[in-house]
Order: sequence, then C-alpha cells, then structure tokens
Amino acid sequence: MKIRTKIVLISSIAVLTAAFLVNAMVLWMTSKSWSNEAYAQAYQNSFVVMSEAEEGLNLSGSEVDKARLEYYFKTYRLENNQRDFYTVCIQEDTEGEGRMHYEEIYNHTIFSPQKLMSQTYTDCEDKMGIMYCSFEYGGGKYLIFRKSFAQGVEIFRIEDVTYVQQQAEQLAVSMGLSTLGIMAVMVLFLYLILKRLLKPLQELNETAGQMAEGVYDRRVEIHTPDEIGQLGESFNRMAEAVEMRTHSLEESEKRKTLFMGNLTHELKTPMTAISGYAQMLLSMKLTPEDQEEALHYIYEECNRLERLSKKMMKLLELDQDTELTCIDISAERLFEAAGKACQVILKEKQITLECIQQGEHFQVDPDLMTDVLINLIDNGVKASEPGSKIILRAGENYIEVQDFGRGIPQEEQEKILEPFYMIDKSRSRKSGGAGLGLALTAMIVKRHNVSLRIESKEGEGSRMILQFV
Amino acid sequence: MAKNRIVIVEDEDAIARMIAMNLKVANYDTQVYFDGAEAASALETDHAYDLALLDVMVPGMDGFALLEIMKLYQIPVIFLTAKDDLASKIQGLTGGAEDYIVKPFEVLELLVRIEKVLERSNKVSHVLKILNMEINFEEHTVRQNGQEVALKPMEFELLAVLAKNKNIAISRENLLKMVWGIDYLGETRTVDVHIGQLRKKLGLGGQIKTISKVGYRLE
Repeated sequence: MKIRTKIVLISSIAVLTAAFLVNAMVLWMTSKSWSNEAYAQAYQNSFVVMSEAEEGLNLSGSEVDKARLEYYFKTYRLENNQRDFYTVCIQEDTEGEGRMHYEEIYNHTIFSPQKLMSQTYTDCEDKMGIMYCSFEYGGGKYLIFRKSFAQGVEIFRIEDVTYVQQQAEQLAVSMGLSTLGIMAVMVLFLYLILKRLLKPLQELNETAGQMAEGVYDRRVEIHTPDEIGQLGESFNRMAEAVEMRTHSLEESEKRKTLFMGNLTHELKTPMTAISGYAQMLLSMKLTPEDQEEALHYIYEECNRLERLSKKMMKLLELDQDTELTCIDISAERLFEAAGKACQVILKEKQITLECIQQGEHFQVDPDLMTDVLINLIDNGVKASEPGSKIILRAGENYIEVQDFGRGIPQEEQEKILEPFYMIDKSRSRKSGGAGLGLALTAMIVKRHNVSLRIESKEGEGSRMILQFV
Repeated sequence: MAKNRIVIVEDEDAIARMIAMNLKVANYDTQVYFDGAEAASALETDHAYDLALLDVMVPGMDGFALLEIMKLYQIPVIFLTAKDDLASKIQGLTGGAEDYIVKPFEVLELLVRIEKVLERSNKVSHVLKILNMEINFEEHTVRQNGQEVALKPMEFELLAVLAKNKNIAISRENLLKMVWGIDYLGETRTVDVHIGQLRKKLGLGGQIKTISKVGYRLE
C-alpha cells in the first residue's frame, strides 16, 4: 500500500472517530434539551387545562355532577376550539376492598382509563398536584399528565412528543451526512497535499533506482527544508560518495589492467628476443659474427629482465604496507650515497654532479630515499647532453634534483610517474630503462608522505622537487 | 631469381635484428625501420617490397596507420605484436592485414607464415634453384644438373620444405607436420627413412645435415 493511502486511511479513521463522538454528544445534549422543552410545554398546557377544569367545574363539592363534566369536555371545550387529547373518568370503589371501577366520562384517546391508571406516575412537584409519566405506544412517544380531583374524578391529558425523537433523528441524519461530506472533501484535499508533499520521495526513489543500475551522476532536487529535503540532501551526499568511490575503484582497476598489460609487454619483448636468438643458434648455420651478435643480444635481454624483476619486486614490497624504518639522516650522507651509486653512469656521459647543502637533516628511510635520488639522477642523466651537470640541492623541507637536459613536455609531466611510461620508448630502451624508475620513486615518496613536484621547461631542463611536510 | 624483399618496422632493436638475421638466412632481403614515420617517408621513394612485418606499437606512427600506407603500395602486411587482445587482432585483420602473429613467436612459425602470405600474393616463383638442383613446385619435378630425378611424392614434399627453409634446422616432428600433415600418425622414423632416400637419390649426403637433438638442415 502506498504511504499516501496509508496516511489518508489512518487520518480518516481518526477524524471519523472524533466526529462520531462529537456528533453523538451534540445529538444527546440537543435531544435532551428538546425533550425538556417539550415536557415544559406539555406541562404548561396541562396546567392550564387542569386549572380551568378545577375552576369551571368546581369539583370541590360532595357529589359529582356527571352531566356538567360531560358537557364541559364534550361540548364547551370543543366549541371553544380546544381540541385536546383527554380522558376523564370517575373512580369508584364500588365493591369495596380496593377493587376499582372506572366510569368513563369523556375519552378522546385510544387508551382506556384502566390502562392510564396502571402507569407509574411521578409528581411534578407543583402546587396543583399534577403528576406525569412518559409512555410509549406504537412507535410514538407520549407524555401523560394526571390530576386527581375530589370525588374520584381523574383527568388525564396526553401530549404527543414523538416529534422530539423525529427531530433528533433528522438532526442525526443531517449531521452524519454533513460529516461525511466534509470528510470526503478533506480526504481529497489531504490526498492532493500528500501527493505534492511526497513527490520528492518519488523522485528520490527513481533516482536511487537509476543509481542501482549504475547511473551514478544523478542527484535529487531539494524543494523544501523539511525531513524529506534533509533526506534528499543526505541521499545526494551518499550518491556523491558512491560516485567518487566507484570512480576511484574503476580508475585503480584501469590502472591495474594497464599495469598488467604493460608488464606482459615488457616481459614478452625480451623473451621473444631471447628465445628467437636461442632458436637461431640452435637450428641455423650462422656466421661467427652473427653467432656472437645473437649471444650478445641474449645476454643483454637477460640483464633487462633481471633489472625489470628487481624493480618489480621492489614495487611489490612497497605496495605491501610494511613499516618504513625512518631515521634522522643528513642530506650530506644521502647525497654521498646517491652520488657514489651514480658514479658510473655520470662518468659515461661526463656529467658533473654538484651537491649543495647546509647540514639539513631529514626523517626518512635512508635506503629508499637514496633509491629515489638515484632514480632522479639517472633520469636527469638520460635527459642530459654529455658534458652538462646535475645539481642536488637540499633546503629547509625540500630536496631537489635539477638537470639542464631537454625537459619534459607539459602534457607528459603527469604521466611520467605511471609505471612503464616512457616519453621516448626507443631512446629509453637504449639507455636501459623499463619505465619503472619514476613509478618506483613516486611510490617511495608517497610512502614517506612527501610530495614530488616537477618543474620543467622543454629545452631548458627539469627540477624534481621532493617537498617534505 | 631475385630474392623477396621484406620491410620490418619494429622499435625493439633486439627483435628487429633477430628477425632480419633469420630472414637473411632464409634467403630474403630485409630493411629494418625502428620508427613508423621514418618507414613511411622512406616508402615514398622505395616501395618495391613483397611483404611488411609491422609491430603495432612503434613510435612515430603506429602499425594500424602504417597498414593503410602499405595498402596504397599493395604490400601485404603481417602484424607482429605483443598485443594479443582480441580487439587488436580484429582491428588488424579486418583492416586488411594478411596475418597476425603474437609475441613471443617461434622463428619457424614466422617463416612458414611469411611463405604462405607470399604464396597467396603470388610473389614466389614456381622454380627454386638451390645447389645444383632446380625444384619446380608446379610440375613437382626436380632437375639435378638439368637431369630429371624421379622422386616419390612424399620425398618431393620433404625436399621442398628443406629447400624453402635452407640453412634452418627443422625437427622431425615439425617435418612430419609440414610434409605429412598434422593428422598423420606415423613415427618420426618415417622422416629418417625419407631423408635417407633423398640423400641417396640426389647425392646430398653432406648437404642434408643431421643436427643432434634438433633435426635436419639443408645447407
């Protein structure tokens, strides 16, 4: 069931119950006051009749003048247009011992004197001594007023008060109908309002559905600052997080695939060469020069594989979250270690290494940081012309390696830190690179929480800056 | 007869040299380029090649772009690449390449595929002259010093394979596959018997060499 229907249903039940209770109370009170009023009116009428009868008939004597009684009710009152419902009778104890006989003088009702006498009457508590009772007969409701006079004369006056009940019923029907009418309007109104109010929820649902199908860039519109609006905001924040997370996962997956692709390529090439030359040596008749060349290539490609596997091992090691052993070390010692390791390649190209430092100290893993410097120097050497120089400079919170080589094009600067990336493949290969050096550097630097900044201009050289926090 | 000319575009020095060395031994003329753009500009002046071996990932201009240029000069192309994903293969073959060889490959496989492509494009002559013999593939005849030598069909096929791959040792298993077919269930001994017949009939005792642990080679 829709939440809209539920709310409408629940509120309808609540309102209906309340309306029912209020209606019942109003109805009860109204009908009570109406019946009181009807009683008062009936009493008033009866009082008048009784008083007139008392005065006009003078029943205080010792003997009852039956003819006068008959005349008064049957002729006089009718002629005076005072039609009312009376029963007049004389009560006589003819046989003694309480066995009553009623002589009917006048009866304009359907009830016999015996029946009227047998009711239980309540005193109206007035000076006249009128008594009354309420009486139901044939679906109607009647009030009977009774007064006993001297010499056993009894006058009953009957007032029909059925109309009170009918009025109450009519009122009940009209109240019920109007309540239902109001309810219908209210339900319709509520339904429309809820539809409007819950529309953001519907949108939220649709958006969530789309997100479930992989469309992560969807957001909901916030219309109101209420709970639904807040839910929308939270949803948007969640969607943002999901999108970012998914994106980064996809990115890392892509990087991994690329890495694996590059790795297979890097492995396949030397292996093709090695197995090819080996097959040639095995199966072909080669000149001694060709044989030597084949052996030379096999040796070289094996070296390349070894270098590759060493670097791969290091990358894997760094990838696992092993603790770094950071110690306080001077820039001087770092530069010395790196310089020594790079001696051969520097000498080959006749490049001078200049170290500038003023006793700065850094909190690093000395072996790994030396590797970083070696990689950066190696990179600089590859980019430089023979005879130029490379500067190692330490300052407060930074170490930089500067070369005066051909520089790195702007669009390549970000990519060079990716594994297996080489700006110029054939040239890098000839100088023995596999494209892993800078990736390794980036990884080590990252593990140290140090940022690597590249400042480079084509044709003027590059500065690789390690910025310590 | 003129040697078939093959252009190689491969940026890996070691592999380019290896292929060139192989093809030289297998009696082809080769030209190696390490850069795609360089190869393209050189082709403008000299494009009389019978076949091109292209690496897909080469600097300057990639293999797929070079393929279009080769098609202009009607040079059949074999891709030689480390990329063995299906998409690249499909792109290469539907683009018009004759074949697609994934690294690492065996040299013999490369030679056989080159030969098949050259045969398809009618760039091999039907007559092969080797030593003092003249092998006619169309007539299935062998003349030694102008004198026809009668060979059984299988002996002729075996000689043809050895002659086409001269100076290259071929294992008995490979010879079985190449001459008798993949389905042949014979023993490698069959090869030895036929080799013996060839040596006797053509007097090639010294030229068909037994290479220990490898197979036979015609020198």
